[in-house]
Amino acid sequence: MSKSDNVVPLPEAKDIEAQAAAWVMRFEDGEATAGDLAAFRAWRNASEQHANAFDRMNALWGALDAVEELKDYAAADDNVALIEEQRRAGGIFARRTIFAAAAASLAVAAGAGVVYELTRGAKGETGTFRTAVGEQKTVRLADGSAIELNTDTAVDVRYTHSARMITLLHGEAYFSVAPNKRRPFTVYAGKGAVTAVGTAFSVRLRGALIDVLVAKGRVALSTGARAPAKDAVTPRTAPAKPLIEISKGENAVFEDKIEHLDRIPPAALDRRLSWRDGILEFSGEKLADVVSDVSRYTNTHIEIDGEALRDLPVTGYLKVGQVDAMFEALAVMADVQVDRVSADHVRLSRKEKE
Amino acid sequence: MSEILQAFIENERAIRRIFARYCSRAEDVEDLTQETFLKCFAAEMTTDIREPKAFLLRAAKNLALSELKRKANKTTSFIEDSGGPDVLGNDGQVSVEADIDGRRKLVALAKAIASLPAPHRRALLMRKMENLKIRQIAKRLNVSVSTVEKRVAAALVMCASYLRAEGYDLAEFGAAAFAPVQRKPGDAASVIAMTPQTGARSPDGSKRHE
Repeated sequence: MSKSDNVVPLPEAKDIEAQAAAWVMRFEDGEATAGDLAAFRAWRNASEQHANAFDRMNALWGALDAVEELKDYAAADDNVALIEEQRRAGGIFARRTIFAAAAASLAVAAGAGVVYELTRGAKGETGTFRTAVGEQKTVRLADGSAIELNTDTAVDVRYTHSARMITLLHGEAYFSVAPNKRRPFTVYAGKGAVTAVGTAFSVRLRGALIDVLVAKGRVALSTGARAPAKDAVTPRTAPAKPLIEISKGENAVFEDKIEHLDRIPPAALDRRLSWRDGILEFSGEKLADVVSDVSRYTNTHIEIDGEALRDLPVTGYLKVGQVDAMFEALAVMADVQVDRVSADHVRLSRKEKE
Repeated sequence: MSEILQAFIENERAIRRIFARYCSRAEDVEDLTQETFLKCFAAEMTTDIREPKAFLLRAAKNLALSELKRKANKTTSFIEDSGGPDVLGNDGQVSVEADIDGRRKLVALAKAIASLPAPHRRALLMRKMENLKIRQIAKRLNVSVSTVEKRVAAALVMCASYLRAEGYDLAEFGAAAFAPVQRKPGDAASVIAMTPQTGARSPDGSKRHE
């Protein structure tokens, strides 16, 4: 494979890939030690072939997340019917059990959350809940619904006998909705409204854009909506314009119209909602996007010096609030120079070649 | 190699002929043929299939029929679902193309996995399909963590070899599921693995209430 006549024979590309794959596995479940990091860095910097092989294996490893979708194929009605039909025809042995236990992973948040009392008034119950930058909070409501507030978020809750009206003032929240057809659950955000019957979804306000991700069930999106008035018993009657209904695994960004519509594989969906576990998970996003995401959780201003560095793909996860861990990882793993300009200003730049 | 993949390779032409009777576009025939493989491979993971060939052909016929039905209903259901024919505009189109592209990648990856020896296939699927942690897989298979690590690492290398042998450029799979990475050739050291040493996750995968 190599034409060079080096005295030391180059290891076969496959051996290098095997080593790279071993490193990918070592980092996989977050059990790498500081010693591993140092050893990895030495190995990776030993040759460009090593670095490239690691990139290739790491990218393929991430891409393999897509096969989680096969679970949906296996569980699809027509497939189940086909298996049943073939079983009767004698074309099938016994059902295997290994994969039978593979249930959907997005269970509704359990845990010891405080049930927040809404303020009872003549026209229903109300409450406003906020989180500061870097803070997260779960609000459990008496009807069994729960709202998980991400960093720097404010929601207004208004429950009346005929409607459950939530206004997302800013930030991002995940709603687990207790089913009740007679009392629709609507999240107002900017010009948009997201209506659910019994489902779970997240809504994020990005400027005027409303970003909705459905984890369970189905929601209806509409525009031209206005948040309910202070003492409203029912939503405003001004007809909002219905846009579209989206269901589990779908993501829509909209304001006046649908700006973006996408289906998200289960593994990526988990990643997108990983903030609910207090974890930010990345799988190949550009450093610039990672920084903009991380910046929501910290008051530290993070500056990226250099276009090429902005495009650096980042894989990994960090705990909400552990921004310093990210700087450390970038410095050790990717030769990024981290300079603290001031207490709340950090500059990232490409380290000079050694 | 999985029996379904073996049977699929042997009967791919027959399956294609089934769809050719219903679809005029070669592209649709190809997509439905590959879809048949996906469905049957998924079924193989929950079930022991005694007659893979019969199973594949039956699945193909069912798929062809439901495709016919879907086409017949397409226009009306689209309008009902979206609240109007103009709502989606061009975005819907882009999304459909992205979906097909994703489907093709899934087919390639599924075939790569199907081509693995059974122990490797099983370990990789437990990790990627069932979403089990290495530690959990080791427990279930009653082997050591290092054995599982080695087995899955070997599976990854074999998948890479398979995809290359099938003529795929591995860079095509570099795009992450929700944020495509534009990788330039020669762009060295572009992936980092950020692993806070404090351990953001406990080994059993539980993350809450630490």
